[in-house]
Amino acid sequence: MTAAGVRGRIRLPPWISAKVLIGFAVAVLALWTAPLVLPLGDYTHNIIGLTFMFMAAALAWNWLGGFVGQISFGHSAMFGVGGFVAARLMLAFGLPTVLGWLAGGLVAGGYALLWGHPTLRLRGPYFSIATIGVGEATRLIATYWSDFTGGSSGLSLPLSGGPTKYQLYWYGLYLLVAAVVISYWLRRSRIGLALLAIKEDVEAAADVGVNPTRYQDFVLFLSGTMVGVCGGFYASYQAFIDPQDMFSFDRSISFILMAVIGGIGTVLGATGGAVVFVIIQEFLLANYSQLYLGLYGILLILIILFEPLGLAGLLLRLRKLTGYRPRADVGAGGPASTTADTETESVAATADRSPP
Amino acid sequence: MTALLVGEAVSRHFGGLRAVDNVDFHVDEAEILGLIGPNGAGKTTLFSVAAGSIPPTSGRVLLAGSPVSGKSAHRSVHLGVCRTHQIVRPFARLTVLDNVLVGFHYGRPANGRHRDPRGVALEILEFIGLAGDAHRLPGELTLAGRKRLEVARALATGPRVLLLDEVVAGLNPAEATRFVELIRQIRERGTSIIMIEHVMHAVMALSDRVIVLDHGRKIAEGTPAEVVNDPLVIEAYLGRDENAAGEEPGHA
Repeated sequence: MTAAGVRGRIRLPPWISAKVLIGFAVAVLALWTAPLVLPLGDYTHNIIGLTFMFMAAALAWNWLGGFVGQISFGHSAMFGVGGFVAARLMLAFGLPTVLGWLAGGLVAGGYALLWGHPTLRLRGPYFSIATIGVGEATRLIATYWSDFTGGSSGLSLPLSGGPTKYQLYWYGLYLLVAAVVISYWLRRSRIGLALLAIKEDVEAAADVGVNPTRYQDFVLFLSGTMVGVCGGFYASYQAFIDPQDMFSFDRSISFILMAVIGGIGTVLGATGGAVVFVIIQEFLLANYSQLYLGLYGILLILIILFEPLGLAGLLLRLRKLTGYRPRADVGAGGPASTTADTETESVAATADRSPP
Repeated sequence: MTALLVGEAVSRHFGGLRAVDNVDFHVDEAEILGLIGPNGAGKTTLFSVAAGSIPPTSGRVLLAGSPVSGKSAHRSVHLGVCRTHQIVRPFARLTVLDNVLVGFHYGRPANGRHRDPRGVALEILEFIGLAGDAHRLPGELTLAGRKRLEVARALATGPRVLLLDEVVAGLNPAEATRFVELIRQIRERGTSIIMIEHVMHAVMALSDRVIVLDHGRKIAEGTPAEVVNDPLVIEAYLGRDENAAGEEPGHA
């Protein structure tokens, strides 16, 4: 928790430090202007825009999976609901693109609450198993509800009237900015404490006044809405969506992969995972289609064995080599442990990361 | 002295097992109530009901006249009843300070209004004796330290009634003496306390009144001195000497 301070005449909320704000503003500016100054080809430019969207979706998955510790294998359900609702609204009512995405997102968020509110009572693997069911059931419903989704033929979106694929780069960037801000807020504000407490020990959290249902529901709604908006983006990007692709189990897995490779539970690690994911999908899939699953498998094994915090963890190690000493609770982003493991894990964590 | 937390005919059954059987209890403002009894007597279960974690099978618990039982653990905390755990449950990967801050931010609303979170948390850590460990992880503390953290976190919720579950057990004599003094100071600050304890000198030194549970039932209530000399209580802990009354020996 950073202390509240008065910086000049602008008082920042306690969860933002001036350094972070400036760094963030610089990064956004750089990304915003990059296509105007760098000689990127259209293809690369568009892929980067798509990557921004995947980053936002992965960050959103991480709110539930990493911050709260409830691993969802069914997030494609919200991705698909968002995409199809957005597409339908644009086709039926000519709704402007961004409004369509927002509407799709909110419906997806509501859908997440519908299945999630009762399901979040389950902990750990039991919740995850339930989400597999949710994802698959949604896919089947969507495939058979061909009036709404176009069934196996899918829906084509009009190519005119909305932003071009080229312009979607900046729309993706805005999505990413929103996701980053929310990620930071969810972790660093007092609500971040509640989420970490729930992740560590939900019963003990309730015993000191944290309402687990309220905060889990809130995060689930937020996560579902953002992923739904990303689904809308994807629909506009491809100008075509079909249920098999949007609601697939592979897609649910992809969110998990991005977050885990990037650093599950860290604030921004998932963005790195999204980059890895897009690189593998776009540049390896075409040439080495047999290998990409194996590659994911190897990556996951390496992460589980050597660096549970993924790319973010590697970055942390590099920084420590240059003398950076993290706070004692840097491990709080990592995978949740059971209460029985608590003593050993925290002692092990401190052996690695204790302050001087 | 007005009764602050009152349990009326509280029962909690688990199937056929009567873990708590028709227990009446009360603790007054700024009073320390000792809760003792042999292992398995139902003391922790009574705490769980009083703290709202589990609902009573029958009966109810009232705080200043309003029902607090049968809702939820976090609701009870907001109303002013907070419990610690027999086996400490700190948030392992949060710092000591953040552990306390969770209690402060999510505790009783009236307690947290218009106050500086960090300041209050550090003041509590100062009071409890953990100020120097504010940025450590719970795993780096000794058992005594973790027990202090458990109490500090509960205190941060601003409870009107604090339920302490065997906080002195497992401490060496020096630590235990310090803890007894700490509990006394908590009461002096105005918080009522119910304490489950097996460490008899702590119970005797601290309690204004004591109630004794055995097999889920209350078998005695009174001052520490009264209770300790009560034959029913002695029998509950030590059993009865069948030979003393001239009856046939046969079973313990």
